[in-house]
Amino acid sequence: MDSYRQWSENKIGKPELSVVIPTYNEEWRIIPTIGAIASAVSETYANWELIISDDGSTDETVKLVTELPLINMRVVTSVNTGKGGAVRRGVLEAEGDLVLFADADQATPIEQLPAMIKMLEDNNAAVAIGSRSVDGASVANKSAFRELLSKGLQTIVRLGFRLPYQDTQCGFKLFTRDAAKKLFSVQKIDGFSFDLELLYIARKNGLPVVEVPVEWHDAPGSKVSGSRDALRFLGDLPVIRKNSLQGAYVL
Amino acid sequence: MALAITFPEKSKSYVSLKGRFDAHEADRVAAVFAGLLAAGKTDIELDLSETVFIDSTALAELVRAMKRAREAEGDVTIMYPSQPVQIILELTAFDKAFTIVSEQRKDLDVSAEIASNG
Repeated sequence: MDSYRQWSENKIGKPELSVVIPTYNEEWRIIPTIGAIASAVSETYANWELIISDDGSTDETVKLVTELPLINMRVVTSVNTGKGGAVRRGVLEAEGDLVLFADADQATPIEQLPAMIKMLEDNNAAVAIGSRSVDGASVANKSAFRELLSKGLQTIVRLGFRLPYQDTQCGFKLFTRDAAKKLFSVQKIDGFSFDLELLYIARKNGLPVVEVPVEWHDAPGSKVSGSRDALRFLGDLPVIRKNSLQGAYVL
Repeated sequence: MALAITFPEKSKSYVSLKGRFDAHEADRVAAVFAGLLAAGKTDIELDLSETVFIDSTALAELVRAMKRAREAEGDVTIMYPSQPVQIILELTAFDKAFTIVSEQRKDLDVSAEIASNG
């Protein structure tokens, strides 16, 4: 508890780690997630920052988080653009040597972070992506429909983009600072398919990516609407292709 | 999440929750609380020392149970909350609503128990 108190009350120096949480109308879920992250990360890092990147919430999210007594937390606000836009704005504000973005629902518990960091370092990778589909992952309470939809989309991704990853969409990804700045500077998709776009850009430019099995819990109230977002996802695929052909993804 | 119940005294119950206490578990815990209160076990001690995460739905369920227990002149006391749970209670300001026996107190309680048994 002492580490958390120290972090919450005293301004840090240059952060070793930045944690970015994108939010959109998360007044119901965000504070427990912040609490869990602050508790776990403070035990490992003295110098880390938390960035809440709000995507034009119309509820009390911004007011609630702004009032929290956490001196090393920043809130980045914007009009609503989509999750990709919120993550990009947050990551581009980040100053840490490592940058994690994590969903606001704590679906992937923050306790998975040390394994992600170890895999990133051991493999000399630029990006470590949480995966619900590789050996060693555990998935709790995911609906059969969502599972089916997810597998279908991942198959399309593997075939269409020749990406060798089992799960491009897990909301738990870790970047070296250099990779984060480069990737998010050219990334353009504002919606849910930004994850795929990031991995496509990384692969196209030879940045090493490692896929790490994570524990994942379905969190009721997910902002992902199965069929609607699947259609948007499919609609974004040709946009990524077009951007690539036009040279937009050269780092 | 693992849930265990013991009954140290006639009107008391001791409930331990281990693991992740979230929306998927809230109904099960609500049913347990309802059963305890209906059986006159109005003093509920809720051990959260091995609870790794508690979400808003679970917190709301605890508040509901605490209000019902207090209406029946009992209480829901949170025992030894783990660090993440303690921080979540503080950030949500629920630490002011509940009676909480802190984690530090646990060592003293265990020592006292050993002494009285020894």
